[in-house]
Amino acid sequence: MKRSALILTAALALGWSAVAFAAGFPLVPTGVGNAAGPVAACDTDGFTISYTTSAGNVTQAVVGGIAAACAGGSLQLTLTDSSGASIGSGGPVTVAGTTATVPLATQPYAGSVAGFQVAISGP
Amino acid sequence: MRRALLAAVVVAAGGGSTLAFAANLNGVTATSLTVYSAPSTVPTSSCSSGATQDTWIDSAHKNTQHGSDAQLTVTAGGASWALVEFAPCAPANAAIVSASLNLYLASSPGGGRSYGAYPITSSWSETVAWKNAPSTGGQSASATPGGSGSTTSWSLASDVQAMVNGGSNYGWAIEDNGGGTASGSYSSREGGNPPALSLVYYP
Repeated sequence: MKRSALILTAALALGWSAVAFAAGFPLVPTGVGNAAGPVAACDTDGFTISYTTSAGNVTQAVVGGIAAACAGGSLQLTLTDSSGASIGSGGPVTVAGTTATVPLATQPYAGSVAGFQVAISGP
Repeated sequence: MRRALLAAVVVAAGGGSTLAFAANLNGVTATSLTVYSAPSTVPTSSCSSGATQDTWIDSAHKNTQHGSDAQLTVTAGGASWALVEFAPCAPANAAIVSASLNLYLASSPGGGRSYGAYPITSSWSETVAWKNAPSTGGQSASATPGGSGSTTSWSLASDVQAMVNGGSNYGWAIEDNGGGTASGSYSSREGGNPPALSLVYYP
């Protein structure tokens, strides 16, 4: 269990940098694999997002378009500004359908939001 | 000997990108990680409201009430003012992105005028006359009236933000900041093109 957590932490760190790297590359399937064979994302066609605001700050977001294969996974959401810096975050919440409601622990001004990042670990 | 392998797939999707990771440590495959990022902005809301009251007051006729007039006359040298008040249509504590007071210019004062919007700081009604004019604060915004049939707009986001945050709201006085005798007339709420306060905001 602890070993898996360590691996996930490393993978998460690598993942964020890879997101930035991948931004200019439309499709980069790799040949890297392990004993279990190539991995596949639990969702490959992306997510939608909608927001709830209060007094101009984002208090909650609903992530939609989640594939059934992600059920049981743990979802974390990060909102970013125009420079890509994190300005708000929420989760983890357990994926239990095609949408996930994520209350934000850090609630940014709505006008500052320029992007979002979703990370689902597992299932 | 410990050996860790990471496998990744990157797939573009809908303006973002998705990555999947899995790890194999000593032959044990760990949970995968899917990461997706995309640009996104929070949509604004917008609304527009009509004046709850309007009139104009005339220094040349200190006792005359104009609350039922179809036009609001603004005269150079501060000789006459238009008064307008709205109930802003944004919810309490909304974050105002923009607020535009729009008045339809029925009769132009000519070019080169500067009309100021001054927040009114005391209560008034459409029975007000020059002799009991409400008090006003410093200028919030200015605009240059165009030709007859155009709309003059003042940007008043700060004032409206204070209103929706619970501050006082007595509307604005429109005054000509220059000298001379030029007069312009705007359609009142009794006219064909009534005043409007248009807001863009985050609830």
